Amino acid sequence: MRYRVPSKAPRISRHRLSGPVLLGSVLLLLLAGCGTTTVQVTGDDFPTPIVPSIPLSLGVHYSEEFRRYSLQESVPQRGDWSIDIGSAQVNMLRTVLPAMFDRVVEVDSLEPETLPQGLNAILIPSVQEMQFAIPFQTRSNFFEVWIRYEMSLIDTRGDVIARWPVTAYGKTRSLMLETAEAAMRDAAINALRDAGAFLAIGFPNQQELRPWLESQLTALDFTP
Amino acid sequence: MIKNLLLSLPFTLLLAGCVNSTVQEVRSGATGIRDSDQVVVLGRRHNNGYETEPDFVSCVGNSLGSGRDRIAVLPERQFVDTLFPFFEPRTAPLEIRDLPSLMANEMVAARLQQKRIRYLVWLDGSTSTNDTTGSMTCAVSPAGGGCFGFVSWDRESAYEASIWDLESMTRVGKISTDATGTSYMPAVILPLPLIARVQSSACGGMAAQLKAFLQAKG
Repeated sequence: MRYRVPSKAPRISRHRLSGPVLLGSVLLLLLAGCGTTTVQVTGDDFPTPIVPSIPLSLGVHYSEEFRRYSLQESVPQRGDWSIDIGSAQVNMLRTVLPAMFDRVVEVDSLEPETLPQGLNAILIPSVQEMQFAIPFQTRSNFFEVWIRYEMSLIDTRGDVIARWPVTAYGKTRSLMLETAEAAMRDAAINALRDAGAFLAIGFPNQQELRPWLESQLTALDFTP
Repeated sequence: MIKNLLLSLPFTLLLAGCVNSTVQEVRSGATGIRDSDQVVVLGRRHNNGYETEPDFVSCVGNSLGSGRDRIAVLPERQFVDTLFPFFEPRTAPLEIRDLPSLMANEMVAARLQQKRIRYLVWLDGSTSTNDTTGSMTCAVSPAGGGCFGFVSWDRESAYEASIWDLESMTRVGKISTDATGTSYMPAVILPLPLIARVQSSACGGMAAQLKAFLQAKG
């Protein structure tokens, strides 16, 4: 068998790379670490909470900002992140609130004359703050999400009944074959579940709400 | 066929690192399970620094639910969704003394009754990589590529199962499992991983002990 002397010319020379292609490839490689990681959280399968229904009619107003809430943040050496939880948090509340109240009506406007008849109050959720962490930052195996909501309850004339915070936390383990987007999406879903759990269990016992809730329920002979 | 199996066996053994594992059991109450009863295996996720891995939880659940002496197991996710919001990381009962107040909730008690849940098995622990030694260098050139070096790492699994009987509302026992193993990866052009399946060993040991524990009379 004849020994074949390896060619000195590298094989790559058979497929000649033009200058622009080579430059483009190098640029693409450089930009790969600086791109935006976009996480679209939809969350359309939140479980329905098993809590006693409060015999009241609640209006709920999702502002445009709430419906489209998205966090943009830059992580040094890991590029930009964009996490959109707007539709997921609306989906979460659309599942949780109807289980908590006898009647829930979404209202687009807070003008008293446009509100449906028979509402006891209107709930206005808003995101006060959202943060996240990736394993690179915390040197752990976890993607984490924190959300701080403020819930405002107003009466049908627009006067504030109560405001209270709802905090939420979710994390998910970084897995070898899972993308960072999928892991962050799971962490955000877990945070939204946490918010839903806190709201469903905590609402009747919320200190700020008790006087109003008791006055509304006294006539109905209902104890939350 | 048999010849192929015999040929592949030494190769398979060569590719697997060694694992040492121990299982301990502490019984504090009588057990026993009817055919209609179901068991739920749940992972603890309230700790900041770690969480019981979902794949370990499902591994133990699947092992309990398989074999000739299998036990009916309700998947963790299905159980947590069915009882939402009472078994989320922040709301789940941490101690057995929290159980009576949860069971006093008629809606929770009705769901547990409907699903015929008899035992809750809480798994707490994790698998971690402790020491990594050695080094490996890989290079790629137009003429080809390859790796050279040797790396080894120790992994340790430590889990504890706390078994709650929903009928008697007591903790009937605890089972703990520890497994350690060293994995190796020598490389001469091609890396050859010799993986110690530590978590898998801990899962097998835990599931076998749990099955015997739950099915024991007395």
